[in-house]
Amino acid sequence: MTVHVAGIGRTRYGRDERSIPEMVYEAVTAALADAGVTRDEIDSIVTASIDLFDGKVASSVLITEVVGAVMKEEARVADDGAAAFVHASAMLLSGRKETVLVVAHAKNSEADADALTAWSTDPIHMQSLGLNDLTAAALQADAWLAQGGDPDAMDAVAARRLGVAPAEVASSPVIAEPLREKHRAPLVDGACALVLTCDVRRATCDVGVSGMGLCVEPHYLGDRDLIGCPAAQKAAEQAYRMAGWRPEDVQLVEISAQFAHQEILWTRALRFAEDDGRRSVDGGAINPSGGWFAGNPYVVAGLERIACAAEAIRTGTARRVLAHGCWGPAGQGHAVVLLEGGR
Amino acid sequence: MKEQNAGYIRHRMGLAWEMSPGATFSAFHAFLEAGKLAGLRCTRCRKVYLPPRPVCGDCYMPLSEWFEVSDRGSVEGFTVSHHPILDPVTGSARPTPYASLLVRLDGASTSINHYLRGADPRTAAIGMRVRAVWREPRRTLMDLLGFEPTGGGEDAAFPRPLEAPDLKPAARVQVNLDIPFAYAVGRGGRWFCDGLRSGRILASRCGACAKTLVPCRSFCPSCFRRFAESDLREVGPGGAVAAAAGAPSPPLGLIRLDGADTLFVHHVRARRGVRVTALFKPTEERRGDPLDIEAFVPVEASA
Repeated sequence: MTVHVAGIGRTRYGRDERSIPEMVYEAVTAALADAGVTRDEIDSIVTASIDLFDGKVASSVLITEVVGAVMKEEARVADDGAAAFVHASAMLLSGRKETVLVVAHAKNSEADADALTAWSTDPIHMQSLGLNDLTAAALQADAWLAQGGDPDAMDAVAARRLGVAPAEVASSPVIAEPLREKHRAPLVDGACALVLTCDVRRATCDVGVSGMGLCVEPHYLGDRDLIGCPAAQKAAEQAYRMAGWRPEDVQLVEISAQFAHQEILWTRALRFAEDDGRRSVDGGAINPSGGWFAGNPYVVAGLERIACAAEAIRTGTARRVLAHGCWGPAGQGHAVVLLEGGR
Repeated sequence: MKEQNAGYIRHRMGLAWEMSPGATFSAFHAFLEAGKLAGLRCTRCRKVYLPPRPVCGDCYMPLSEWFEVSDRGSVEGFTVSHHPILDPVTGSARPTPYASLLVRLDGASTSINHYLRGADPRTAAIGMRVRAVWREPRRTLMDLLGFEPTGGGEDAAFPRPLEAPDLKPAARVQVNLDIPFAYAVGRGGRWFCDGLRSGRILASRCGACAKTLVPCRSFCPSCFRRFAESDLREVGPGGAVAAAAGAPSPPLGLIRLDGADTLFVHHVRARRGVRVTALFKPTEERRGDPLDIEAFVPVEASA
C-alpha cells in the first residue's frame, strides 16, 4: 500500500488580518479542490498548531468546523506540520483509513515569537534564564563556529535564500550574537493543508510517500549534540531504510531551516553535504523554493516543505525528493519524508 | 511561607497577543453597535448560528446570510453553582450561588451561555423566558451582562434577514495574560535547588553510562536508571564557555563545567573559550532556583 499526496492547498504567506478559522478554511478548501474530493470523503483529520502562538488553551478548538472535523476523527499535533504528516501517513498505512487531511497553521504576526518560546523551555532549569528559540539557535551557531564553522558560509546561505548580497546579510543588525537579522527567516502568518490518500482512484497527482522518519532529542540544551543533530540523522536513516534509498538517489531537497547555520547543519545531518557544509550554498537542488526563508510561519514551514517537494514531482523537476521539518529549540525534533513520482 | 515554597519553582507567565477578530466577528460587532444581534444562516441546513462563525460545521458550507435574532429567548439548560470562581474579566470572585444558563434566543438555532441576573438563582428553570441585559454602548459580546427573566412567548418575527454588511476585518484586539505557575521540582530538582542554596552545582553520576550529568536529575535519560542521592556529584563551579549567545539578547552560554560530561546552560559574562566560574548570590538572597547563580564570570574577574 502506498500513501499518495492527492491535494495541496495554502494561503498566501504574509501578514494576514483574517481570523485563524477564516485563514485555515482557505487552505483546506483549496486542498480539497486540488484533490477533487469533498469533505465527506475525508476519513480523518490531523492538525498541527501550537497553543502559545494562538493564545488559546487548545488552539485546535478554533478550527474544528473549518477543517471539516465535525462528527469525524480529529487528532492534533503540537509540533511542526511535517510531524502531523508522518502521523497521518502512519494512520493510512494502518489500513484503517483511506483519506486523511493534514492541516498546519500559525499567525506569527499576532505575538512576539521569541517572547512566547521563552515559556516553552523546561521551567525548572531553563525558563528563568530567559532562553528562547532565538537564543537557543544563537548558542547552536556559536558552538558550530567553535568547531570551525565558517561565518561566511552562513552569510552566503542567507543571501542566496533571500536573494540579497552576502554583505547585506553581514551588515544587518545583530539579533543575538553571532546571529544577525538576515540570518533568520522572516516570520509570517498562514496555513497549509494536504490531502493524503491510499485510494489510488483519489490520487489525482502522482506523488507517493516512499519513506518517513521522526525523531526527537533530549530537551535540556546542555545534553544535546547541537552540531551533529542526531535526531535529524536518525529521522533520515529511518526514512532511507523504509524507502530503500541512499542519499544520492534524492534529486531535490526541501529543508526547514529558520536560521542560516541550521540549513548547513541539517544538510549535513541529512547526508547531503561534506563536513564543510558548503554544498548547500553551491548546489541548486537544495531549497529551490527558498525554504523557510521565503517566509513561512512556525508549524507551517515543514508541511510547506512537503508541499513544495510534491509540486517539484508534479511539475517534473524531480522524481525523488526529500522534505524535512523541525521544531523546538535549536531543532529538538525532526521529521523526514521521502516522496517519489510515478508510484 | 518558606515551607510552603519548598519543592516548587514559581513563575509568572506574562504573555501578550494582538488577535485578529476576522471579518465575521467584525461584522457581528458592527451590527451590535447598531443595536442588532446578528447570526449567520446556513443556506443548506438553514441553521442560524449565534454567535456567528465562518463555516457551518455540519454542512461544511461557508456562511454569508446574515439574520437578526431577538434579544429574548428561552432557557434550554442551567446549573446553579455554589463554588466561587474568579471572574476572568473583573478579577474578583463572583458571589455564590449563581446560575449559569444556556439560552436559545428567538430566531437562533444555537444557544449561548451566560449568567442569570436580577433573579434568585433558585428560580432558574428550563423553558424560562429571559431577556439580554446590556452595558451601553454595546460594542462586543463582553457588553452582554447576563439574562433577566421576562414574560411573553417566543417571537416568531425572528430571524429577520439583514442586509449583507461590508466584510472587512476590524482592528486587532490586544490580549494580555499573566498566569502564576508553581512547578513541583521533583526529587532531582529538589537536590539541584537545595544544592544551589548551599552554593553547589550538583550533577548525577550514572554508573551504567559512565557519565556525570549536570544538572542532577531523577532518572538517567539514556538508560532510564533511577538515581539515588548517593549518585550526586558536585561539579564546577569552574569551567569553560563552550558557546555563548550575546547581545542584545540576555547573554546565555553553554558551560563545560569541571567534572561534568554534559553542558550547563546559564548566563555568562564571557565569550566562547574563556575560563569562568559561578558567581553565587549572597546566601541570604538565595531562593533555591537557577537564579541563585548570578552568572558565570571570567576567573580573573572573580578573584
